[in-house]
Amino acid sequence: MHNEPDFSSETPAVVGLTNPLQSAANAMAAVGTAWIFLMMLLIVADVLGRNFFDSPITGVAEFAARSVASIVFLQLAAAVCSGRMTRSDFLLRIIGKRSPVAFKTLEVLNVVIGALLFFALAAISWPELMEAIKIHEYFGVQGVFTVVTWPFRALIVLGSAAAGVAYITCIPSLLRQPFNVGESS
Amino acid sequence: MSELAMGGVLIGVLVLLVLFGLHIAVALTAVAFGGVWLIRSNVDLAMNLMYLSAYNGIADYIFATIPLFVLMGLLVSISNVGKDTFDVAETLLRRVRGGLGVATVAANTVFAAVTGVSIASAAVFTRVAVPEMTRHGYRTSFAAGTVAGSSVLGMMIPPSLLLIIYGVLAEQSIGTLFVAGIIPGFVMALMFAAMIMLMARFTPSLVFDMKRHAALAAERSGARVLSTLEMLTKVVPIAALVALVLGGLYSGFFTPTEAGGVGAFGAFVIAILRRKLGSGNLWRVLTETGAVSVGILILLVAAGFYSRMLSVAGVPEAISDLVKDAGLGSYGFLALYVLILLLLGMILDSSSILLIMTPVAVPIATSLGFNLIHFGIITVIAVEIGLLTPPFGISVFTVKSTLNDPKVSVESIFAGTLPYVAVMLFVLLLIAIFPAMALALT
Repeated sequence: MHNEPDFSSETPAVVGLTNPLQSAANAMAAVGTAWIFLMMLLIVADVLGRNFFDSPITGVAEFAARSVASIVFLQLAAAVCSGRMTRSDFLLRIIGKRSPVAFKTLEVLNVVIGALLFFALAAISWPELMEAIKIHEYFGVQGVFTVVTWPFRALIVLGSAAAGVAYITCIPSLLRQPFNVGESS
Repeated sequence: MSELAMGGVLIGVLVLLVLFGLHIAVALTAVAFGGVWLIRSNVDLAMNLMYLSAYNGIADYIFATIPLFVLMGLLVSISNVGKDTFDVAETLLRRVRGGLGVATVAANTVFAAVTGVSIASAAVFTRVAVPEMTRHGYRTSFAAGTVAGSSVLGMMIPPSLLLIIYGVLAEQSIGTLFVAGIIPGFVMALMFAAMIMLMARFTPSLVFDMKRHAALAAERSGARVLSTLEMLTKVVPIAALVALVLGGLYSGFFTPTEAGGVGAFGAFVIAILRRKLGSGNLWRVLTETGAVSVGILILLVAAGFYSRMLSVAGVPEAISDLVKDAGLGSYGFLALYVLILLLLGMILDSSSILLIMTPVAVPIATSLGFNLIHFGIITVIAVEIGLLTPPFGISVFTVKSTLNDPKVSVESIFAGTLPYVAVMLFVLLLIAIFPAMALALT
């Protein structure tokens, strides 16, 4: 029994939540997942190169820094779909036991506010993306290494729009579902 | 409306939204957005600040530590390193009264040096240590309480996700915070161990199931004692990993991010050598890493926005003036602050408390002349106590759900953790009085 891998975390996935967007969201998340692994390898290569072969890899730190936000936005929709966004369900569980209607109202409120905010973020990110493409915005040091910023900005547009859609598409399954918060702890 | 009233309303609304079960990231962003909009009557500014937080808020090398340390923790967990450490500690401590309890604390201390999440420690050691302790006649509630209690070491001994979050919010060096966490973490571990040995000697009925214990003592069913060679093979991987990560950090050879990358890679190698990554396990670990990391990082994006909003609103300055005018003095403020953290700890999870309170408290602490590293250690210990206090003590719930034994109630585990809470409060007091405990190594 000690051999089974340990996958518990602070935010266990909620059982029974289904979302039509799930597989698309998982595909995006998979890219983010691979990206984390790649980042680890890059950092190790940089450390080894710098200390043992006297040839650091230029730009690893800058690239890793820029990557973090992209990894987050790639994974966001999947986190929303599987109900793994951190929340405190302590009061919610008490409310749910007393009144399932109030419970569902709060759940839908949560989802609607989430969707509105992420759509707003997607909307404001769009012009920034267009601007970045137009002026060929880059980071790094000219002549040493440069990386264009538009893919990173584009992932924010994509990720927040997907998260917004993921929130909205949660609603039917939330309403259909019998009261189940108790299972999440 | 004055800044103070405004701040009070905004923070109040935030706590209310969080309690009503809004996703924490959503609640923080919503309050931040609404706050900026109301204060400046400018929705475009609110939108722009939100975008800035999303695009630039976590675009720093230091944030890459989070997925890397999570990955390292998960890889170490599936490699059975936790169980090995416990086995060795068990053999070494077999002649000590209450030795298994001490072994749990010791194994947790070592394990804490390769994982940054208390919950991970709680889950691993519930599976490893609780069955072993009950088999040897310990009370299950004591065993479960010991696992939950000592799991908080995961967040104190570096690497620690809570210290990273605090460091980011307070703009303090994460490397320094990590080093500052070492002495308090070990002091806490030593006191846990001392307390277990004292309890086993003077109040054995709290520790052991007396009837079974007597029966077991009669037959002396000795656990298999490991040979020195066996112990070495079990200990070498984790010792190497700890040396690599802590040594690299302490000597300044690695930045925290590099320590995370190298540590994760080391854990990856151990997992490969132990053939634990087959049949899709690697991908499952990676997916889980992504899921855990995004949960934390999106909170940091939202918290960045929220703390920008607070400073736009002038809230920290207003509260800081209030505290000074009230003549609380620095220790009065500290006592009040710790009290608020403890109360919040009863209803919120640790990262949310940090996210809500740090941006408010740090400017005040600065103006009162606190060292922010010292202040951070105090903050994290106080927040950690919340992991163990009812009604919302997530470490206890983790132990309960991992244990999955209807005979052990949540209440009995809470009761089992009480002595550990007392020790933590004592250590908190010590560190508040003697800042050197946190600052000596830095």
